[in-house]
Amino acid sequence: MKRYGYFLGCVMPVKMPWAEKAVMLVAKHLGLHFDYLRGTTCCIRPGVWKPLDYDAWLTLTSYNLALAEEQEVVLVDSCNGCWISHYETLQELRENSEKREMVASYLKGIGKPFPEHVEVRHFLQVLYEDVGLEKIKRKVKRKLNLRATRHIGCHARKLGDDVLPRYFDEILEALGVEIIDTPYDKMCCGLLLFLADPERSVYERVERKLNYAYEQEADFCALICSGCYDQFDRAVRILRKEAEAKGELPKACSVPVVHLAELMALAFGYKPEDFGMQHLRCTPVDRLLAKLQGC
Amino acid sequence: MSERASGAKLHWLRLLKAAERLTKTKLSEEIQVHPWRRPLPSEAPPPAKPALARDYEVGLVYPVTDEAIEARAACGLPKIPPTAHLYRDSVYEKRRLLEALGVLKRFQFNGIERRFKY
Repeated sequence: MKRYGYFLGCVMPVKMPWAEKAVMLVAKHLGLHFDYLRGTTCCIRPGVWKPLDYDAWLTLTSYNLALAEEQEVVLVDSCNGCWISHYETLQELRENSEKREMVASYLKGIGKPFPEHVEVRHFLQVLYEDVGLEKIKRKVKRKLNLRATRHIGCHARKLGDDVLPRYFDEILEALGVEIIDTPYDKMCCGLLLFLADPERSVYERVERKLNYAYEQEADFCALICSGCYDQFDRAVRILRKEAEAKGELPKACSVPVVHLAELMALAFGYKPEDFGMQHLRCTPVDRLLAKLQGC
Repeated sequence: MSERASGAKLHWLRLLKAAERLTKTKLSEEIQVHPWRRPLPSEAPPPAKPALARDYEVGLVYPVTDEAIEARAACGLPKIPPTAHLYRDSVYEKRRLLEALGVLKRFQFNGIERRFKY
């Protein structure tokens, strides 16, 4: 049986503890041999580090792969940014002998093993390919019967739309979520864009997505990527502050942004308080919870 | 757009202010002392500087704040996540890698002062 090491990344442990707890609950509920990958540093952010210093990106990312090698686990990411960093690094190490040697030498310098046998999986791959949709369906105690828009995130399209985006949709549907397609489904969250063009990143990315969800009367917007959530969180705080200054009701800020693992936990019969669903949210989940209690 | 833009722009400007606080030498002052010298901008982009400095400090982009500790406990999680926040050896190993890779020199980042020179 595979042993999985969950890579927390930077955002989840400090901004989305409810998602972290839900992931751990769901993984155990599905019978996975699933624990934290311990001692991890930043993934390291490909959008920032790759253009700044490619070799540094490769080596620092390999550090986390080396931890997985040491702890003898399959590295699992639910953040698309972390996953793409680990996935692409592993590919480069396998295909480029020069880079392999370079990384091996740096890792040796700090007493870490070269990640020779490591496997990297997206959490969606673990759920869909390793667990299977049928088993997930069997674990559903109550269908959620909710309507939602979803934001899968750019890097999840790396393997094509028929892999991770499809897994995401099919799992959502298995939980009883009716997906509302939007014209903005393939639009980036704007996380990195914020560094160069903050206005476009907030108003023409997150606000558009959440306003559309509000207009469609979606119960929530579903996502899986912590990097994207970081951007949603920042944008919503900015939008709320602006709207409050004008005494307006912030439309975009009333749509709950919910992680897939939370929905799975709820459908499996866990209570919101089992994973602290109401704490530290960028958008309130009260209305969503009231609706769930009503069904 | 221009009226509504202020919130996002202000947030971004705060990032630049934080970057300025992390930077020892101001190029505008430097150029007055050495007018003929070619400016020496840092290879670290200013809006990314605060995150890069935290990367060095804690090994990750975000520190664990009191608010996060409280929320983690409320969610039934250990107060400090089992990342480099808890395993400090990882931070020191990462710093050794940054040093060996020449990244600190390229970014003109002084690990003792925790500031960028430019």
